[in-house]
Amino acid sequence: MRNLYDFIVKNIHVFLFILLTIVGLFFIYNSSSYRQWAINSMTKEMIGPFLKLRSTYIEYIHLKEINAKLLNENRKLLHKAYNQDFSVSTEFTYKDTSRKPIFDYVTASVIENTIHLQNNYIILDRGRKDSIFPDMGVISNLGIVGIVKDVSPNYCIVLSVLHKEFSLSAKLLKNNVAGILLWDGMNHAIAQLKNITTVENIVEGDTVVVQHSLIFPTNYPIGTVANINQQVKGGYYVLDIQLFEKMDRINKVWIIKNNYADELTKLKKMGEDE
Amino acid sequence: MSKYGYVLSFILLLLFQIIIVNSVSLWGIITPMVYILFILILPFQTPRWLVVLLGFLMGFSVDMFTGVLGLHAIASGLIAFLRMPIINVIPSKVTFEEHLRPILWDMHFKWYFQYVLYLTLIHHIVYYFLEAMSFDNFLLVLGIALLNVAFTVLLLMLFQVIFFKASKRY
Repeated sequence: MRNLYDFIVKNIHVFLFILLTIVGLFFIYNSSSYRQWAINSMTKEMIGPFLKLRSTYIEYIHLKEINAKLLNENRKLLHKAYNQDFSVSTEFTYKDTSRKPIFDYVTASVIENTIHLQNNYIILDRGRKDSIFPDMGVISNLGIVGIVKDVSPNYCIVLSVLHKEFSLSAKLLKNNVAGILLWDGMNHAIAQLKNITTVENIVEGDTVVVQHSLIFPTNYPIGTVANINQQVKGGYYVLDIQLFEKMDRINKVWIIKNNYADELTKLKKMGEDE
Repeated sequence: MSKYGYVLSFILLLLFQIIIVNSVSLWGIITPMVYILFILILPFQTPRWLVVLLGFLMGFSVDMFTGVLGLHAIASGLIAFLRMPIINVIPSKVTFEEHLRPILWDMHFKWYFQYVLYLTLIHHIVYYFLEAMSFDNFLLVLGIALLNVAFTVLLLMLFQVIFFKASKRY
């Protein structure tokens, strides 16, 4: 303490000089906007690298937030991209405020995911509190993921595409030929598309998308044809479909809510009863 | 020179600077800054913090009459701070005695000329670059600064010849 005091007294002129210089610079800074600008740009240049370092650090910390923002934005874009079925023609579109969009999208994070079982499940961090119900579709930005099976207040279990019970009507994008998407339990990257007649001209690499469905948006991507099995039994192909979504790496997904599902199922029942 | 003598020289130099020198501007670019003479003539024994404070005050006073606050203050505060190191650096044949003051008649001409020149150089270069606030017109600003240095040094030496006389031995 004594030494510090001595040091300060001995070098008081240095401290005084520094202090007065700072005061002087402060006055210069306040004198005109040009000087403010000049000092600002000079200091920016000097401390620029540090600022950059700081911003990268902050960016890293806020990655979670940024991610959430992006997800939200993607959700809006999805809305735009897959909710246009009702518009008859671009010339006659009108704003129908009474009609809800067909699909609502809820972002969710994967909590648990299996791929090595025969019947694989995914658990998401959304539940009844987020108005999630069974039979809602789950997609990622690349392709379909599964269908909600059970819901608890805060979580839901999703029947993965890699589940023996999972089936979905899918079609080839180029010629609208429809089949049933199933999984044979072998490879987690490949699902099967069955019931496609051998009459159709199919090439490896053809895109497979969702057919009209209550659960998934029409034409939502699934995968590409990886292999055409030639064992022709009763005139049907079994196609191997390379899934767009890598099921071992899913992290952020959307749960899709069809606002007209109830109405459509009722209508179907009415038709069947008659 | 007593304490009051220094106070008086502070006021006189300030008035001389702001009333006469600042209103004479040769070719629009040369305004010698004779007020720094006040820092130069402070006795060797003056505490360094006091020199810094007085230098800053002098510069600040000039600033108050010339526009931008802080320009002269910083420049003259700097030379007040650097005065002692520069005195120590300049080689001297004279042994410093108690009664000697940093004025022309007490020291050798060569020593005193260097003393004035170095401090004026530092002051002017700092001042003009602070004023320009950039190194864009580096040579132009430097040229103006050096021209002013010549005139300031000339004036300061003249002041020494006219207004000062050798200190008496007590």
